[in-house]
Amino acid sequence: MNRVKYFQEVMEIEAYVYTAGPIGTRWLQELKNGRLTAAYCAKCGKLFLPPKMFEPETFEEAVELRPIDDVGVVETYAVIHRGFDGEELKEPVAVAFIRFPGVEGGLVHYVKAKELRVGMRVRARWRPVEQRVGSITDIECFEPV
Amino acid sequence: MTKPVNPRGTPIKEAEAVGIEFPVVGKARYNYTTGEALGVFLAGLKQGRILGTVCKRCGRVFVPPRMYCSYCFRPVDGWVEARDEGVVVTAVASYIEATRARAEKARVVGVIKLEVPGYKFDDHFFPGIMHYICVDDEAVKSMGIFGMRVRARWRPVEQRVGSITDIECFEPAGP
Amino acid sequence: MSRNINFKHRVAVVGAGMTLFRRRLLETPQELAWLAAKQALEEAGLALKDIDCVVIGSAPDAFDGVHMKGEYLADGAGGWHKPVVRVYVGGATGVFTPIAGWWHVASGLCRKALVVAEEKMSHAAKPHPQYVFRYIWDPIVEKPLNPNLIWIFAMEMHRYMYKCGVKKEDIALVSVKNKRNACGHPSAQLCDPNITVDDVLKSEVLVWPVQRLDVSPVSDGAAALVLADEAEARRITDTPVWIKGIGFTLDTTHWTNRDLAYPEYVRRAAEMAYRMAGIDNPRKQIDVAEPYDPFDYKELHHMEGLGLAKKCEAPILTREGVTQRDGDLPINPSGGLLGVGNPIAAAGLMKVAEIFWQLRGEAGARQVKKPVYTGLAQAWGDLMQAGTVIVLGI
Ligand SMILES: [Zn+2]
Repeated sequence: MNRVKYFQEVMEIEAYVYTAGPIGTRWLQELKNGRLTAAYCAKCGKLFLPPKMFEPETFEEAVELRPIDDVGVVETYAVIHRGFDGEELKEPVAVAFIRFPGVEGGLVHYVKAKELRVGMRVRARWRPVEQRVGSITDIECFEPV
Repeated sequence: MTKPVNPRGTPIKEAEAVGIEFPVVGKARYNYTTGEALGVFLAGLKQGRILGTVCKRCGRVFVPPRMYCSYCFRPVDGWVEARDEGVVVTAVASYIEATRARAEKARVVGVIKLEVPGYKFDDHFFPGIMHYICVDDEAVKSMGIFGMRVRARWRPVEQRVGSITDIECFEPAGP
Repeated sequence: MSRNINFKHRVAVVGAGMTLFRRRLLETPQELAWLAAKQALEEAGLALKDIDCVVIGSAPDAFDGVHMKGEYLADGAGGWHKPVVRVYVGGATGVFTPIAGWWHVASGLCRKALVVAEEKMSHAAKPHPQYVFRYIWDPIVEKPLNPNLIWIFAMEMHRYMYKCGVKKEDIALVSVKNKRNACGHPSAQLCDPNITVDDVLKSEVLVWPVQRLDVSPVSDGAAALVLADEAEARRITDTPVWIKGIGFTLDTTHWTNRDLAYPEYVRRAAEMAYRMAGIDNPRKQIDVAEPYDPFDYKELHHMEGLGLAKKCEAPILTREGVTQRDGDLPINPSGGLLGVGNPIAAAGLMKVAEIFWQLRGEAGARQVKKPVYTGLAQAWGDLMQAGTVIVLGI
């Protein structure tokens, strides 16, 4: 049998630096303040998540963020048993798509609950103020109300 | 009125970029296979030979080799050995690394048109490879390097691994 | 009018828009696409509901750092619940995007199409966006030599200089012209009204003969066009600009096997577009052109491939001032990639927008002196392989 020759190569990009856009940057700042907000389209009155500077259906500009309650509803979820390299996790991790009343779209986030089910009401568990950095992970996870 | 009217966008400086830095923690690791033709080519380099394939229908010689003639769209007819000597078609002197960082010293690199006994090639299609050329960067700046005859400087047999770098560089072959 | 080609509908450009081009912009790629698309729709007096289909162009996903970039950009490009396609031919993408838009409309599949191109190179921040290009090289015979992308262009430039006896001073004139032209462009990243040949020749040497001011910058930005079939176009505007010809070609990736002094891939793409547009003497029939200029020598190289100059003649025309905005054959009146900036796919589409505005007489500060009826935009990409050409006319 022939020996197969491989050329190994590691993609060595060190880091990507993403920006969140004008409204997204403010949205992250609000998370740092412990406030969950949604983008507001003045034309159609829609609140939507994740925030961006346009509402994709009307194609109108969105400049305003409005506070929303950090209690949402589990639309669907998945339980992860294996890590990136296929290794068994010590403890399974659940991620859910969470919708918020009156808001289009929603957020994907971790949920910690004994018995997770679709339709369950969940509330954000915020990190302590001094640990927040202006990131989606300023919410540590969602947990049952 | 000059179009576009009031183009938008919010310029930022690197320092003030409220960026979300995403370090590539698990790097993407690739395993490339050589394929058929390049596998033979690399095995040849390990033996100190530069091999190419030939299409007998159109007479083209392919170095680096491929299994098919992309012009006749048929399999090639076999292998030929090129000399490890040729002329410089073009060359440049690089003062930067792949990362865009300044290089410690200039590196000359170019395309070498190789000779294959029994075949003649024009400027439009020829066996040719990119490689380092062991000359001073002044030879590039003066353009004296164009048309220069160069010969492969092979690594010692025990250091060869079956890679394009089994040739250390091409160096002036003399008159 | 076109000949030898049978297609269902004539296609017109009826609106164009673009963002600022800058080294770094705060907006997300989706938001950049939206800014450009929104402006193009407004210029055409249309709303998103009027659009039947969307064509997106964007270069490697690795710049924005988002995979499936076409899908990702879709809602910013107006593709919400519409037929959407993303096209990609490296640097040639920007002109390929309206070409793909053309066949959507010419075929009768869609009546009005939104064409959007976007690039956000600043995301690939570390070590440098240039590094991303490492992955276009052959992994077996080229990458072990640790190449920088600029190597191949420097090799092509040097071969062209050697074969045509062109001096770096002559090539630098292109950079000077384009960076000065860019001062009339509201989106421009690198306007420099006082730049001289000396500045170019004294700039940092990257890969001899390429110096820093021979190269276009790293940029963020987006551009967009609205295309419509003839009946729709006449309803939308009194001054539609017709797509008269399109052409695209690929050469082999085996670039070390061919002569680099002449861009065959551009010649073939141009011939295809000229045949469709009924052009047999481009030097006389094209009034204004935006050939692709990521490097200054590339403008010259491409002018020759496009038949706007004879082989080795472009540097002479440049020196004589023929290619200036007030010259007989204005080349890159926008300021090109060297002046306006180079968010890859968006830069190519910016060129098509420029020809659209020039032919409508809306380029204002950049309007060329002579009356113009027919113009051309061209882009090039991959390993000196891909050529894309579009001919517009009124
Ligand atoms: Zn053949």
